[in-house]
Amino acid sequence: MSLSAGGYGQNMLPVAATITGIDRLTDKDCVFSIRLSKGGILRFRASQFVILSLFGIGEAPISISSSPLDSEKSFELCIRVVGNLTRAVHRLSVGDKVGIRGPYGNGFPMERIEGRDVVIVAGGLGLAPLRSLIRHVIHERDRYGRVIVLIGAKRPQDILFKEDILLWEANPSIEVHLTVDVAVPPWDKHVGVITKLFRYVDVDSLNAVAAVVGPPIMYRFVVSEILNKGLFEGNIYLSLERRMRCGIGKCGHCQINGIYLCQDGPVLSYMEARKLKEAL
Amino acid sequence: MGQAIGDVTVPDLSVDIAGIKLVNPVMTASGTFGYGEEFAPYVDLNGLGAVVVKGISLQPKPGNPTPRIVETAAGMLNSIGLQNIGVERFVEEKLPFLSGFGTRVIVNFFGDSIDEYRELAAVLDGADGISALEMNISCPNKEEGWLEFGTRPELTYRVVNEIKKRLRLPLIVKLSPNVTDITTIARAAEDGGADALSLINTLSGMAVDIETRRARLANVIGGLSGPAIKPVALKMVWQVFNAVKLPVIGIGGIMTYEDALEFMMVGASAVQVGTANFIDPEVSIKIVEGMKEYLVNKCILRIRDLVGVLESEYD
Repeated sequence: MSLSAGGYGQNMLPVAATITGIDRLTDKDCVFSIRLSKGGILRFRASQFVILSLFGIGEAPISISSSPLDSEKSFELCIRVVGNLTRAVHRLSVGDKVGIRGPYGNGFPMERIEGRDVVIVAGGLGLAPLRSLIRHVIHERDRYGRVIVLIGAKRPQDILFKEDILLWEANPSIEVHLTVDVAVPPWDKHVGVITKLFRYVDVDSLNAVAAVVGPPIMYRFVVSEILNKGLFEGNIYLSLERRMRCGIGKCGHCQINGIYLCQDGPVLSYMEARKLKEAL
Repeated sequence: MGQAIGDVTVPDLSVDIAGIKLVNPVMTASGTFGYGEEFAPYVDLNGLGAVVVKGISLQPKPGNPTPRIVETAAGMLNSIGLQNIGVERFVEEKLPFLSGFGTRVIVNFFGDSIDEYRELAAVLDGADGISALEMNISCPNKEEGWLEFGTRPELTYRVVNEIKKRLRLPLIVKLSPNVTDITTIARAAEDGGADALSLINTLSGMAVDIETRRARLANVIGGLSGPAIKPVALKMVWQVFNAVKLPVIGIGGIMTYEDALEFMMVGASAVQVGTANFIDPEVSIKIVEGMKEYLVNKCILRIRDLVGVLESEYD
Protein backbone atom coordinates (compact mmCIF):
# COMPACT_ATOMS: atom_id res chain seq x y z
CA MET A 1 0.00 0.00 0.00
CA SER A 2 1.29 3.44 -0.74
CA LEU A 3 -0.27 6.84 -0.33
CA SER A 4 0.66 9.47 -2.86
CA ALA A 5 -0.78 12.60 -4.34
CA GLY A 6 -3.31 11.62 -6.95
CA GLY A 7 -6.37 12.81 -8.77
CA TYR A 8 -10.00 12.87 -7.80
CA GLY A 9 -11.15 9.87 -5.83
CA GLN A 10 -7.72 8.95 -4.48
CA ASN A 11 -6.49 9.40 -0.97
CA MET A 12 -9.81 10.56 0.39
CA LEU A 13 -9.99 7.88 3.04
CA PRO A 14 -7.89 8.16 6.16
CA VAL A 15 -5.66 5.17 6.87
CA ALA A 16 -4.67 4.02 10.33
CA ALA A 17 -1.27 5.09 11.61
CA THR A 18 0.68 4.76 14.85
CA ILE A 19 2.61 7.36 16.79
CA THR A 20 6.13 5.96 17.16
CA GLY A 21 7.83 8.90 18.84
CA ILE A 22 7.13 12.25 20.47
CA ASP A 23 9.74 14.99 20.92
CA ARG A 24 8.88 18.18 22.74
CA LEU A 25 10.29 21.27 21.02
CA THR A 26 8.74 24.13 23.01
CA ASP A 27 5.99 24.50 25.59
CA LYS A 28 3.41 24.38 22.80
CA ASP A 29 5.09 22.43 19.99
CA CYS A 30 5.81 18.72 19.70
CA VAL A 31 7.12 16.57 16.86
CA PHE A 32 5.25 13.34 16.33
CA SER A 33 6.85 10.48 14.42
CA ILE A 34 4.18 8.54 12.61
CA ARG A 35 4.18 5.18 10.89
CA LEU A 36 1.37 3.99 8.63
CA SER A 37 -0.14 0.63 9.52
CA LYS A 38 0.60 -2.53 7.55
CA GLY A 39 3.91 -1.22 6.26
CA GLY A 40 2.23 1.59 4.35
CA ILE A 41 4.53 4.19 2.82
CA LEU A 42 3.72 7.89 2.50
CA ARG A 43 5.24 9.17 -0.72
CA PHE A 44 5.45 12.95 -0.51
CA ARG A 45 7.37 16.03 -1.51
CA ALA A 46 8.79 18.75 0.71
CA SER A 47 6.07 21.29 1.63
CA GLN A 48 3.20 18.87 1.16
CA PHE A 49 0.77 18.27 4.03
CA VAL A 50 -1.40 15.50 5.38
CA ILE A 51 -4.78 15.65 7.06
CA LEU A 52 -4.54 14.17 10.51
CA SER A 53 -7.65 12.77 12.13
CA LEU A 54 -8.39 11.84 15.70
CA PHE A 55 -11.25 9.48 16.25
CA GLY A 56 -14.21 11.26 17.79
CA ILE A 57 -12.64 14.69 17.49
CA GLY A 58 -11.96 15.67 13.91
CA GLU A 59 -9.35 16.54 11.30
CA ALA A 60 -6.65 19.12 10.77
CA PRO A 61 -4.14 19.81 7.99
CA ILE A 62 -0.52 19.45 9.15
CA SER A 63 2.57 20.01 7.03
CA ILE A 64 5.21 17.30 6.99
CA SER A 65 8.44 18.23 8.75
CA SER A 66 10.62 15.30 7.77
CA SER A 67 12.20 14.88 4.37
CA PRO A 68 11.02 12.33 1.84
CA LEU A 69 14.64 11.12 1.85
CA ASP A 70 14.79 10.56 5.64
CA SER A 71 12.96 7.27 5.91
CA GLU A 72 10.47 5.30 3.89
CA LYS A 73 8.80 3.94 6.97
CA SER A 74 7.82 6.97 8.96
CA PHE A 75 7.37 10.72 8.75
CA GLU A 76 7.22 13.59 11.23
CA LEU A 77 4.56 16.19 11.99
CA CYS A 78 5.32 19.27 14.07
CA ILE A 79 2.13 20.20 15.87
CA ARG A 80 1.44 23.35 17.87
CA VAL A 81 -1.40 23.52 20.34
CA VAL A 82 -3.81 26.00 18.79
CA GLY A 83 -7.25 24.44 19.23
CA ASN A 84 -9.35 21.45 20.04
CA LEU A 85 -7.77 18.83 17.84
CA THR A 86 -4.17 19.87 18.37
CA ARG A 87 -4.73 19.93 22.13
CA ALA A 88 -6.03 16.38 21.90
CA VAL A 89 -3.03 15.31 19.80
CA HIS A 90 -0.70 16.59 22.51
CA ARG A 91 -2.41 14.30 24.99
CA LEU A 92 -1.56 11.20 22.92
CA SER A 93 1.28 8.83 23.71
CA VAL A 94 3.64 6.62 21.73
CA GLY A 95 1.66 3.67 20.42
CA ASP A 96 -1.63 5.56 20.05
CA LYS A 97 -3.48 5.40 16.74
CA VAL A 98 -4.41 8.31 14.49
CA GLY A 99 -5.81 8.62 10.97
CA ILE A 100 -3.80 10.02 8.05
CA ARG A 101 -4.94 10.99 4.58
CA GLY A 102 -2.94 12.66 1.88
CA PRO A 103 -0.40 13.85 1.09
CA TYR A 104 -1.98 16.94 -0.40
CA GLY A 105 -0.77 20.09 -2.05
CA ASN A 106 1.72 20.62 -4.85
CA GLY A 107 4.87 20.52 -2.73
CA PHE A 108 8.13 22.26 -3.41
CA PRO A 109 9.37 22.04 -7.05
CA MET A 110 12.71 20.37 -6.28
CA GLU A 111 13.50 19.84 -9.97
CA ARG A 112 13.36 23.60 -10.53
CA ILE A 113 15.94 24.43 -7.90
CA GLU A 114 18.57 21.90 -8.94
CA GLY A 115 21.95 23.42 -9.64
CA ARG A 116 20.95 26.77 -8.14
CA ASP A 117 21.79 28.73 -5.02
CA VAL A 118 18.99 28.34 -2.47
CA VAL A 119 17.87 30.87 0.14
CA ILE A 120 15.48 29.46 2.72
CA VAL A 121 13.62 31.90 4.96
CA ALA A 122 11.68 30.49 7.90
CA GLY A 123 9.65 32.60 10.32
CA GLY A 124 8.21 30.95 13.42
CA LEU A 125 6.19 27.86 12.62
CA GLY A 126 7.27 28.26 8.99
CA LEU A 127 10.30 26.17 9.91
CA ALA A 128 8.01 23.13 10.25
CA PRO A 129 7.48 22.67 6.48
CA LEU A 130 10.85 24.18 5.58
CA ARG A 131 12.70 21.66 7.74
CA SER A 132 11.55 19.09 5.19
CA LEU A 133 13.11 21.14 2.39
CA ILE A 134 16.32 21.83 4.32
CA ARG A 135 16.82 18.13 5.10
CA HIS A 136 16.02 17.23 1.51
CA VAL A 137 18.68 19.63 0.25
CA ILE A 138 21.26 18.34 2.76
CA HIS A 139 20.56 14.73 1.80
CA GLU A 140 21.45 15.47 -1.82
CA ARG A 141 23.70 18.40 -1.14
CA ASP A 142 25.74 18.03 -4.34
CA ARG A 143 22.74 18.94 -6.48
CA TYR A 144 22.55 22.54 -5.26
CA GLY A 145 24.72 25.62 -5.16
CA ARG A 146 25.13 27.72 -2.02
CA VAL A 147 22.51 27.05 0.61
CA ILE A 148 21.65 29.85 3.03
CA VAL A 149 19.07 29.37 5.77
CA LEU A 150 17.57 32.34 7.65
CA ILE A 151 15.50 31.55 10.72
CA GLY A 152 13.51 33.95 12.87
CA ALA A 153 11.54 33.39 16.06
CA LYS A 154 9.89 35.57 18.68
CA ARG A 155 12.03 34.59 21.64
CA PRO A 156 14.82 32.02 22.16
CA GLN A 157 12.42 29.66 23.89
CA ASP A 158 10.12 29.72 20.84
CA ILE A 159 12.75 28.42 18.41
CA LEU A 160 11.65 25.17 16.83
CA PHE A 161 14.03 22.31 16.05
CA LYS A 162 16.90 23.75 18.13
CA GLU A 163 18.95 20.55 17.90
CA ASP A 164 18.47 20.42 14.13
CA ILE A 165 19.63 24.01 13.85
CA LEU A 166 22.78 23.17 15.82
CA LEU A 167 23.36 20.24 13.49
CA TRP A 168 22.93 22.49 10.44
CA GLU A 169 25.35 24.99 11.97
CA ALA A 170 27.85 22.14 12.35
CA ASN A 171 27.47 21.38 8.65
CA PRO A 172 30.10 23.30 6.69
CA SER A 173 28.15 22.92 3.46
CA ILE A 174 25.29 25.22 4.50
CA GLU A 175 25.03 28.66 6.14
CA VAL A 176 22.58 29.23 8.94
CA HIS A 177 21.63 32.60 10.47
CA LEU A 178 19.31 32.87 13.40
CA THR A 179 17.53 35.84 14.94
CA VAL A 180 14.94 36.48 17.64
CA ASP A 181 12.67 39.50 18.02
CA VAL A 182 13.26 39.64 21.75
CA ALA A 183 16.49 38.33 23.28
CA VAL A 184 16.58 36.62 26.62
CA PRO A 185 20.02 36.13 28.24
CA PRO A 186 22.28 34.29 27.53
CA TRP A 187 21.29 34.77 23.88
CA ASP A 188 24.38 35.38 21.73
CA LYS A 189 22.89 35.34 18.21
CA HIS A 190 21.15 38.10 16.24
CA VAL A 191 18.33 40.21 17.61
CA GLY A 192 15.70 41.84 15.42
CA VAL A 193 13.33 41.00 12.58
CA ILE A 194 14.33 38.39 10.04
CA THR A 195 14.91 40.95 7.27
CA LYS A 196 18.04 42.05 9.19
CA LEU A 197 19.65 38.74 8.23
CA PHE A 198 19.62 39.52 4.51
CA ARG A 199 22.93 41.30 4.79
CA TYR A 200 24.46 37.79 5.03
CA VAL A 201 22.80 36.63 1.83
CA ASP A 202 25.35 36.56 -0.95
CA VAL A 203 24.11 34.48 -3.88
CA ASP A 204 24.26 34.24 -7.65
CA SER A 205 21.06 36.26 -7.88
CA LEU A 206 20.19 35.55 -11.50
CA ASN A 207 20.36 31.86 -10.80
CA ALA A 208 19.14 31.69 -7.21
CA VAL A 209 15.82 30.58 -5.78
CA ALA A 210 14.21 31.46 -2.47
CA ALA A 211 11.72 29.52 -0.35
CA VAL A 212 9.77 31.52 2.21
CA VAL A 213 7.36 30.32 4.89
CA GLY A 214 6.26 32.30 7.90
CA PRO A 215 3.49 34.36 9.43
CA PRO A 216 1.46 36.42 6.89
CA ILE A 217 3.01 39.72 7.99
CA MET A 218 6.46 38.44 7.07
CA TYR A 219 5.98 37.85 3.34
CA ARG A 220 5.79 41.43 2.09
CA PHE A 221 8.98 42.51 3.87
CA VAL A 222 10.94 39.37 3.09
CA VAL A 223 9.94 39.33 -0.58
CA SER A 224 11.04 42.94 -0.90
CA GLU A 225 14.48 42.05 0.55
CA ILE A 226 14.80 39.12 -1.84
CA LEU A 227 13.86 41.27 -4.83
CA ASN A 228 16.50 43.76 -3.68
CA LYS A 229 19.05 40.96 -3.94
CA GLY A 230 18.11 40.67 -7.60
CA LEU A 231 16.20 37.39 -7.67
CA PHE A 232 13.47 36.93 -10.27
CA GLU A 233 9.85 36.98 -9.12
CA GLY A 234 9.38 33.53 -10.62
CA ASN A 235 12.25 32.15 -8.52
CA ILE A 236 10.75 33.19 -5.19
CA TYR A 237 8.52 30.48 -3.74
CA LEU A 238 6.06 31.16 -0.96
CA SER A 239 4.00 28.61 0.92
CA LEU A 240 0.66 30.19 1.72
CA GLU A 241 -1.23 28.94 4.72
CA ARG A 242 -4.99 29.04 4.65
CA ARG A 243 -7.51 26.95 6.52
CA MET A 244 -7.63 23.75 4.53
CA ARG A 245 -10.46 21.38 5.21
CA CYS A 246 -11.02 18.78 2.55
CA GLY A 247 -7.58 18.80 0.95
CA ILE A 248 -9.02 17.87 -2.41
CA GLY A 249 -10.27 21.17 -3.84
CA LYS A 250 -13.94 20.77 -2.99
CA CYS A 251 -14.86 22.64 0.15
CA GLY A 252 -13.55 26.03 -0.86
CA HIS A 253 -12.12 27.00 2.52
CA CYS A 254 -8.68 27.61 1.05
CA GLN A 255 -9.85 29.30 -2.10
CA ILE A 256 -8.14 32.51 -3.21
CA ASN A 257 -9.70 33.98 -6.33
CA GLY A 258 -9.72 31.11 -8.80
CA ILE A 259 -7.30 28.75 -7.10
CA TYR A 260 -7.54 26.18 -4.34
CA LEU A 261 -4.42 26.36 -2.20
CA CYS A 262 -4.81 22.77 -1.05
CA GLN A 263 -4.26 21.60 -4.64
CA ASP A 264 -2.70 24.45 -6.62
CA GLY A 265 -0.65 25.43 -3.57
CA PRO A 266 0.38 25.77 -0.91
CA VAL A 267 3.57 26.63 -2.79
CA LEU A 268 3.22 29.48 -5.28
CA SER A 269 5.88 31.57 -6.93
CA TYR A 270 5.76 35.23 -6.06
CA MET A 271 4.98 35.88 -9.72
CA GLU A 272 1.77 33.87 -9.33
CA ALA A 273 0.95 35.00 -5.82
CA ARG A 274 1.20 38.74 -6.50
CA LYS A 275 -1.57 38.48 -9.10
CA LEU A 276 -3.99 37.11 -6.54
CA LYS A 277 -5.78 39.73 -4.50
CA GLU A 278 -5.81 38.81 -0.81
CA ALA A 279 -3.01 36.28 -1.26
CA LEU A 280 -0.34 38.33 0.50
CA MET B 1 26.12 28.95 19.99
CA GLY B 2 24.90 30.08 23.38
CA GLN B 3 23.02 28.18 25.99
CA ALA B 4 19.81 29.90 25.00
CA ILE B 5 19.30 27.60 22.07
CA GLY B 6 19.92 24.57 24.25
CA ASP B 7 22.95 23.25 26.09
CA VAL B 8 23.07 20.08 24.05
CA THR B 9 25.90 18.66 22.00
CA VAL B 10 25.03 17.83 18.43
CA PRO B 11 25.54 15.45 16.95
CA ASP B 12 25.38 13.47 20.18
CA LEU B 13 27.89 10.61 20.00
CA SER B 14 27.48 9.46 23.59
CA VAL B 15 26.28 5.96 24.36
CA ASP B 16 25.45 4.00 27.49
CA ILE B 17 26.94 0.55 27.98
CA ALA B 18 26.25 -1.51 31.05
CA GLY B 19 25.34 1.58 33.03
CA ILE B 20 28.42 3.60 32.09
CA LYS B 21 28.28 6.58 29.78
CA LEU B 22 30.88 6.84 27.03
CA VAL B 23 31.51 10.15 25.23
CA ASN B 24 31.49 8.21 21.97
CA PRO B 25 31.05 4.58 20.97
CA VAL B 26 34.64 3.94 19.86
CA MET B 27 36.97 1.94 22.11
CA THR B 28 40.33 0.36 21.46
CA ALA B 29 40.27 -3.43 21.57
CA SER B 30 42.18 -5.38 24.17
CA GLY B 31 45.67 -6.43 23.17
CA THR B 32 46.00 -3.86 20.39
CA PHE B 33 46.51 -0.73 22.47
CA GLY B 34 48.90 -1.91 25.16
CA TYR B 35 48.20 -0.32 28.52
CA GLY B 36 47.27 2.93 26.81
CA GLU B 37 50.51 4.73 27.66
CA GLU B 38 52.31 3.25 24.64
CA PHE B 39 49.86 5.13 22.40
CA ALA B 40 49.51 8.32 24.45
CA PRO B 41 52.29 10.18 22.57
CA TYR B 42 50.42 9.65 19.28
CA VAL B 43 46.74 9.73 20.22
CA ASP B 44 44.63 12.02 22.39
CA LEU B 45 43.24 9.38 24.71
CA ASN B 46 40.53 11.82 25.81
CA GLY B 47 39.02 11.51 22.34
CA LEU B 48 38.27 7.81 22.83
CA GLY B 49 35.03 6.39 24.21
CA ALA B 50 37.12 3.95 26.26
CA VAL B 51 40.51 2.29 26.35
CA VAL B 52 40.35 -1.47 26.83
CA VAL B 53 43.72 -2.49 28.19
CA LYS B 54 45.46 -5.69 27.24
CA GLY B 55 44.44 -8.86 29.06
CA ILE B 56 45.58 -9.03 32.67
CA SER B 57 46.19 -12.19 34.68
CA LEU B 58 46.88 -12.78 38.35
CA GLN B 59 50.56 -13.55 37.73
CA PRO B 60 52.82 -12.00 35.06
CA LYS B 61 53.04 -13.99 31.81
CA PRO B 62 55.90 -14.06 29.31
CA GLY B 63 53.67 -15.14 26.42
CA ASN B 64 54.44 -17.59 23.62
CA PRO B 65 57.74 -18.13 21.80
CA THR B 66 58.30 -16.13 18.62
CA PRO B 67 57.41 -15.73 15.80
CA ARG B 68 54.00 -14.86 17.12
CA ILE B 69 52.60 -12.44 14.56
CA VAL B 70 52.13 -13.10 10.87
CA GLU B 71 50.37 -11.12 8.17
CA THR B 72 47.66 -12.83 6.14
CA ALA B 73 45.38 -11.72 3.33
CA ALA B 74 43.48 -8.70 4.70
CA GLY B 75 44.30 -9.80 8.21
CA MET B 76 46.76 -10.81 10.87
CA LEU B 77 47.41 -13.96 12.87
CA ASN B 78 48.75 -13.63 16.39
CA SER B 79 49.73 -16.01 19.12
CA ILE B 80 51.09 -13.55 21.67
CA GLY B 81 49.95 -15.86 24.43
CA LEU B 82 48.45 -13.16 26.64
CA GLN B 83 51.80 -11.74 27.69
CA ASN B 84 51.23 -9.23 30.50
CA ILE B 85 52.80 -7.80 33.63
CA GLY B 86 50.28 -9.27 36.07
CA VAL B 87 47.60 -7.52 38.04
CA GLU B 88 49.79 -6.24 40.85
CA ARG B 89 52.14 -4.26 38.65
CA PHE B 90 49.26 -3.21 36.41
CA VAL B 91 47.38 -1.60 39.28
CA GLU B 92 50.52 0.03 40.67
CA GLU B 93 52.30 1.15 37.52
CA LYS B 94 49.84 1.40 34.64
CA LEU B 95 46.45 2.27 36.06
CA PRO B 96 47.38 5.64 37.64
CA PHE B 97 48.57 6.93 34.25
CA LEU B 98 45.32 5.97 32.51
CA SER B 99 43.17 7.36 35.31
CA GLY B 100 44.58 10.80 34.52
CA PHE B 101 42.59 10.97 31.28
CA GLY B 102 38.92 11.72 30.71
CA THR B 103 38.41 8.48 28.84
CA ARG B 104 36.86 5.38 30.39
CA VAL B 105 39.20 2.57 31.36
CA ILE B 106 37.99 -0.96 30.79
CA VAL B 107 40.26 -3.76 31.99
CA ASN B 108 40.32 -7.05 30.13
CA PHE B 109 41.14 -10.00 32.37
CA PHE B 110 41.46 -13.76 32.14
CA GLY B 111 42.28 -16.77 34.23
CA ASP B 112 42.89 -20.47 33.92
CA SER B 113 40.39 -21.43 36.63
CA ILE B 114 37.28 -20.00 38.21
CA ASP B 115 39.38 -19.37 41.33
CA GLU B 116 41.88 -17.29 39.40
CA TYR B 117 39.13 -15.29 37.69
CA ARG B 118 37.53 -14.68 41.07
CA GLU B 119 40.72 -13.62 42.84
CA LEU B 120 41.72 -11.38 39.94
CA ALA B 121 38.29 -9.76 39.65
CA ALA B 122 38.36 -8.97 43.37
CA VAL B 123 41.70 -7.14 43.05
CA LEU B 124 40.51 -5.13 40.01
CA ASP B 125 37.18 -4.42 41.68
CA GLY B 126 39.01 -2.74 44.53
CA ALA B 127 41.24 -0.59 42.33
CA ASP B 128 40.49 3.05 41.54
CA GLY B 129 39.99 4.39 38.03
CA ILE B 130 38.37 1.39 36.35
CA SER B 131 34.94 1.85 34.73
CA ALA B 132 34.22 -1.75 33.80
CA LEU B 133 35.81 -5.16 33.42
CA GLU B 134 35.92 -7.17 30.22
CA MET B 135 36.17 -10.88 30.83
CA ASN B 136 38.07 -12.95 28.28
CA ILE B 137 36.54 -16.41 28.30
CA SER B 138 37.92 -17.52 25.00
CA CYS B 139 41.47 -16.73 24.15
CA PRO B 140 42.49 -19.42 21.67
CA ASN B 141 46.18 -18.72 22.18
CA LYS B 142 46.31 -20.30 25.59
CA GLU B 143 48.13 -23.60 25.37
CA GLU B 144 48.18 -24.86 28.91
CA GLY B 145 45.30 -27.19 28.38
CA TRP B 146 42.74 -25.04 30.15
CA LEU B 147 39.10 -25.53 29.29
CA GLU B 148 37.82 -22.90 26.96
CA PHE B 149 34.96 -21.56 29.07
CA GLY B 150 33.59 -19.66 26.10
CA THR B 151 32.95 -22.71 23.96
CA ARG B 152 30.50 -24.36 26.36
CA PRO B 153 27.28 -22.73 27.56
CA GLU B 154 27.32 -24.38 31.00
CA LEU B 155 30.93 -23.33 31.68
CA THR B 156 30.21 -19.83 30.42
CA TYR B 157 27.24 -19.55 32.73
CA ARG B 158 29.19 -20.81 35.72
CA VAL B 159 32.26 -18.62 35.36
CA VAL B 160 30.21 -15.49 34.60
CA ASN B 161 27.85 -16.16 37.49
CA GLU B 162 30.66 -16.85 39.96
CA ILE B 163 32.44 -13.61 39.08
CA LYS B 164 29.41 -11.36 38.69
CA LYS B 165 27.80 -12.16 42.00
CA ARG B 166 30.74 -10.66 43.90
CA LEU B 167 31.47 -7.82 41.54
CA ARG B 168 30.78 -4.10 42.03
CA LEU B 169 31.96 -3.04 38.54
CA PRO B 170 29.93 -3.67 35.38
CA LEU B 171 30.97 -6.91 33.68
CA ILE B 172 31.41 -7.18 29.93
CA VAL B 173 31.86 -10.74 28.66
CA LYS B 174 33.92 -11.12 25.49
CA LEU B 175 32.71 -13.97 23.32
CA SER B 176 34.64 -16.38 21.13
CA PRO B 177 33.53 -16.89 17.53
CA ASN B 178 34.98 -20.40 17.51
CA VAL B 179 31.71 -22.04 18.46
CA THR B 180 28.86 -23.79 16.69
CA ASP B 181 26.15 -21.36 17.78
CA ILE B 182 27.24 -18.11 19.38
CA THR B 183 23.70 -17.26 20.53
CA THR B 184 23.66 -20.15 23.06
CA ILE B 185 26.89 -18.83 24.60
CA ALA B 186 25.51 -15.28 24.56
CA ARG B 187 22.36 -16.39 26.39
CA ALA B 188 24.44 -18.33 28.91
CA ALA B 189 26.48 -15.20 29.65
CA GLU B 190 23.28 -13.16 29.95
CA ASP B 191 21.76 -15.71 32.32
CA GLY B 192 25.00 -15.71 34.32
CA GLY B 193 24.60 -11.98 34.95
CA ALA B 194 26.76 -10.26 32.33
CA ASP B 195 26.02 -6.53 31.93
CA ALA B 196 27.15 -6.40 28.29
CA LEU B 197 28.70 -8.65 25.66
CA SER B 198 31.61 -7.87 23.35
CA LEU B 199 32.28 -9.87 20.21
CA ILE B 200 34.07 -11.27 18.36
CA ASN B 201 37.41 -12.37 19.70
CA THR B 202 39.85 -13.68 17.06
CA LEU B 203 38.99 -16.62 14.82
CA SER B 204 41.33 -19.60 15.15
CA GLY B 205 43.66 -19.94 12.21
CA MET B 206 47.11 -20.87 10.95
CA ALA B 207 49.57 -20.18 8.14
CA VAL B 208 52.33 -22.32 6.63
CA ASP B 209 55.71 -21.47 5.10
CA ILE B 210 56.06 -23.90 2.18
CA GLU B 211 59.83 -23.40 1.97
CA THR B 212 60.53 -24.54 5.51
CA ARG B 213 57.35 -26.64 5.81
CA ARG B 214 56.77 -24.98 9.14
CA ALA B 215 53.86 -23.14 10.61
CA ARG B 216 54.50 -19.42 10.44
CA LEU B 217 53.67 -19.13 14.14
CA ALA B 218 55.86 -20.86 16.69
CA ASN B 219 52.65 -21.76 18.49
CA VAL B 220 51.34 -23.23 15.17
CA ILE B 221 47.85 -21.82 15.64
CA GLY B 222 46.83 -18.28 16.40
CA GLY B 223 43.96 -15.84 16.29
CA LEU B 224 42.93 -14.20 13.03
CA SER B 225 41.91 -10.54 13.11
CA GLY B 226 41.57 -7.62 10.71
CA PRO B 227 39.25 -6.81 7.80
CA ALA B 228 39.23 -10.47 6.73
CA ILE B 229 36.94 -11.33 9.64
CA LYS B 230 34.54 -8.39 9.44
CA PRO B 231 31.69 -10.14 7.63
CA VAL B 232 31.82 -13.02 10.11
CA ALA B 233 31.85 -10.60 13.04
CA LEU B 234 28.95 -8.57 11.64
CA LYS B 235 26.83 -11.67 11.26
CA MET B 236 27.54 -12.77 14.81
CA VAL B 237 26.84 -9.34 16.31
CA TRP B 238 23.53 -9.30 14.43
CA GLN B 239 22.67 -12.81 15.69
CA VAL B 240 23.55 -11.97 19.28
CA PHE B 241 21.74 -8.62 19.17
CA ASN B 242 18.60 -10.50 18.17
CA ALA B 243 19.11 -13.21 20.80
CA VAL B 244 19.75 -11.26 24.01
CA LYS B 245 18.61 -8.05 25.70
CA LEU B 246 22.12 -6.98 26.75
CA PRO B 247 24.00 -4.19 24.99
CA VAL B 248 26.46 -5.57 22.46
CA ILE B 249 29.92 -4.19 21.64
CA GLY B 250 30.94 -4.98 18.06
CA ILE B 251 34.52 -6.01 17.29
CA GLY B 252 36.10 -7.46 14.16
CA GLY B 253 38.10 -5.83 11.40
CA ILE B 254 36.90 -2.26 11.89
CA MET B 255 39.15 0.06 9.89
CA THR B 256 36.89 2.99 9.04
CA TYR B 257 33.84 4.81 10.37
CA GLU B 258 31.79 3.06 7.70
CA ASP B 259 32.81 -0.30 9.18
CA ALA B 260 31.89 0.94 12.66
CA LEU B 261 28.47 2.12 11.47
CA GLU B 262 27.81 -1.27 9.87
CA PHE B 263 28.31 -2.83 13.30
CA MET B 264 26.03 -0.31 14.96
CA MET B 265 23.29 -0.82 12.39
CA VAL B 266 23.25 -4.57 13.02
CA GLY B 267 22.91 -3.92 16.75
CA ALA B 268 26.19 -2.88 18.36
CA SER B 269 25.78 -0.07 20.92
CA ALA B 270 29.52 0.55 20.72
CA VAL B 271 32.53 -0.80 18.86
CA GLN B 272 36.15 -1.75 19.49
CA VAL B 273 38.92 -1.06 17.03
CA GLY B 274 41.77 -3.56 17.11
CA THR B 275 44.13 -4.53 14.33
CA ALA B 276 43.72 -1.13 12.64
CA ASN B 277 45.66 0.44 15.57
CA PHE B 278 48.82 -1.25 14.23
CA ILE B 279 48.43 0.53 10.90
CA ASP B 280 47.36 3.94 12.22
CA PRO B 281 47.48 4.69 15.94
CA GLU B 282 45.01 7.53 15.40
CA VAL B 283 42.47 5.42 13.56
CA SER B 284 39.96 5.46 16.41
CA ILE B 285 39.95 9.26 16.54
CA LYS B 286 39.46 9.36 12.77
CA ILE B 287 36.55 6.96 13.10
CA VAL B 288 34.93 9.25 15.68
CA GLU B 289 35.38 12.23 13.34
CA GLY B 290 33.93 10.26 10.44
CA MET B 291 30.89 9.29 12.48
CA LYS B 292 30.32 12.91 13.41
CA GLU B 293 30.47 13.99 9.79
CA TYR B 294 28.12 11.19 8.75
CA LEU B 295 25.53 12.27 11.31
CA VAL B 296 25.75 15.92 10.25
CA ASN B 297 25.39 15.03 6.57
CA LYS B 298 22.44 12.73 7.25
CA CYS B 299 20.68 15.11 9.67
CA ILE B 300 20.83 12.53 12.46
CA LEU B 301 21.02 13.95 15.98
CA ARG B 302 22.13 10.96 18.02
CA ILE B 303 24.40 8.06 17.14
CA ARG B 304 22.41 5.78 19.42
CA ASP B 305 19.46 6.20 17.07
CA LEU B 306 21.39 4.08 14.56
CA VAL B 307 21.77 1.05 16.82
CA GLY B 308 19.99 -1.97 15.32
CA VAL B 309 18.26 -0.02 12.55
CA LEU B 310 19.00 -2.72 9.98
CA GLU B 311 15.97 -2.94 7.69
CA SER B 312 14.47 -6.38 7.89
CA GLU B 313 13.06 -6.52 4.40
CA TYR B 314 13.68 -5.44 0.85
CA ASP B 315 10.72 -3.75 -0.77
